[in-house]
Amino acid sequence: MKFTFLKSAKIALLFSVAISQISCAENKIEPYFPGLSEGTAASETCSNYQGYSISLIEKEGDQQFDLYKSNNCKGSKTYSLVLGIEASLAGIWQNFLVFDEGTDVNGHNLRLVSIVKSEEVYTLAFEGDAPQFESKKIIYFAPSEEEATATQCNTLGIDFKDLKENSAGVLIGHQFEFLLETKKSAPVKGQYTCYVVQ
Amino acid sequence: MSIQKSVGHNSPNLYPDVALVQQLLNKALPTYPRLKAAIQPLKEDGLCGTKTVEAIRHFQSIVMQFSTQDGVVEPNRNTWKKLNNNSADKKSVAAAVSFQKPSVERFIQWFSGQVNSNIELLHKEFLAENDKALGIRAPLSSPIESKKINAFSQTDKKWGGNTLGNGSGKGATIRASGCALVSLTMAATYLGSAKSHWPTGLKPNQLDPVKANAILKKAGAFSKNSYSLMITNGAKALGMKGTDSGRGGKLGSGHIQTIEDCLRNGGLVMLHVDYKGNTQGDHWVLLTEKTASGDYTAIDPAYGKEITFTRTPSSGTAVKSVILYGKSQTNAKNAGSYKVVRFVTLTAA
Repeated sequence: MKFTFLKSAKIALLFSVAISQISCAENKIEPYFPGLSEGTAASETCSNYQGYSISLIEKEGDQQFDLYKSNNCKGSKTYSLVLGIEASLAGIWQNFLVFDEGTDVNGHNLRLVSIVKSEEVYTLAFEGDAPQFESKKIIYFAPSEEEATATQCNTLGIDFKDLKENSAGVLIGHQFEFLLETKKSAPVKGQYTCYVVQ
Repeated sequence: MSIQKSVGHNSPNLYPDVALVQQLLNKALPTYPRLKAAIQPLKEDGLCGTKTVEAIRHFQSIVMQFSTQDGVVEPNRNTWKKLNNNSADKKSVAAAVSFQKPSVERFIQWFSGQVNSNIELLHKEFLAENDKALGIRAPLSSPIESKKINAFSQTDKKWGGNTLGNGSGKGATIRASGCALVSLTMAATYLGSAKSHWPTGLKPNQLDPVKANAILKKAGAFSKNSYSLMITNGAKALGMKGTDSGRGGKLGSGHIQTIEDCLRNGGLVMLHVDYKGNTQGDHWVLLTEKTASGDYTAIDPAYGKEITFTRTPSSGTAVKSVILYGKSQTNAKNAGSYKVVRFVTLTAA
């Protein structure tokens, strides 16, 4: 009798652990860009990243993002900002709220808004591959008006002919690094990518 | 001498403001040899592209010695004051005034247009209110109604998070990058016809961004392993004919004629607009008709709402370049910064 009870309790425990794992997995928000931390959805309008929760209210073609030092978008707001319809919250990176701003295949910006110093905002235009977040820097490709050549793209293993035939143009994106220490972007010599103009 | 709104990176970049800043930057070159060495004189065309933004950044770095350069000239802020002050010595004022005369005239023309359109709007609102009070039904003048175009927003929760084309990752969603897909879908609800990749029985007016995305994927209208849409191929797959004006050209009166002919003949026009100071274009909208006042109506997929475009100069066919730009409105805030850089005419196939 005792054995059966223990066995049932164990099954119930395993079942509840499994259920909680499923619901946890359902709430998980995959990292928006490589290197950013994943988040969890507390509700339809509230998401959690690195000990903060961020609520989103849409109003009159704008979006209001409110930051809380809690996990349920409750309590006093740490910070609040209003951005245009083109902004998507990507997560938090080293005390910066990270937004991906854009509506088209081309012309996206990365907007970094400091959580500690609200006036500290950086905007980085990027094209091609998604920006890569590392602990002390962000690696991205900045747009240019430089037409790419077949040799340049083929060297990278990118099929220039296919890109050229299937787009309005192929341009060169130069690699840059935004350094956390200096808060400045600098080009990485000789590193580039080929990107299409839709 | 002043600017109405910010000029530079991510700014409204009103035509007269940009022209004025370009003139002042050029004027600063002889005074600051390091600035002169760093930048080429700007074309004073009222268009804020990467060269103008870079020139502002250089001015902030070399002349103002800012450690961080935002590339923006804001009304009554330090960069503006320094730029303006630089041209305020007595000798140069007369030269500056005569130099800027065409620009001032263009500004007056533009400003009168704004005032007139506001009066027109108030008049229309008054008439509508009056009709409403008398129980008169408003005519079906909206292009969405008259041309039976279904308006969609790419941010709609029904499809905003869906993967666009053959892309992967969060940036490759209809919300983040699908303005061209949504514009093309809206056009196809009016001009389209069923083609080989359409599900059986699906009618054009039943299309939505999810269905169109699936059709375009099947038809191979997206680049391989990418979410970049080949717009003219996409138009074909949705039963339309698309003709691309091509990238990098400046709009001339001939282009405006092409756009107006297309609208007059029952077609629609996808406009590629720049609103971030990037001359390549950052967003697509769908132009639907020319209004009686000479403006143009479009549907913006970012909001799923109608917006208005206007042109400068407001008329004339002998002009070399024309600027077609969006008018600000409260529920579509980016529209005020839109400047057309390319277009695709769409007709029924």
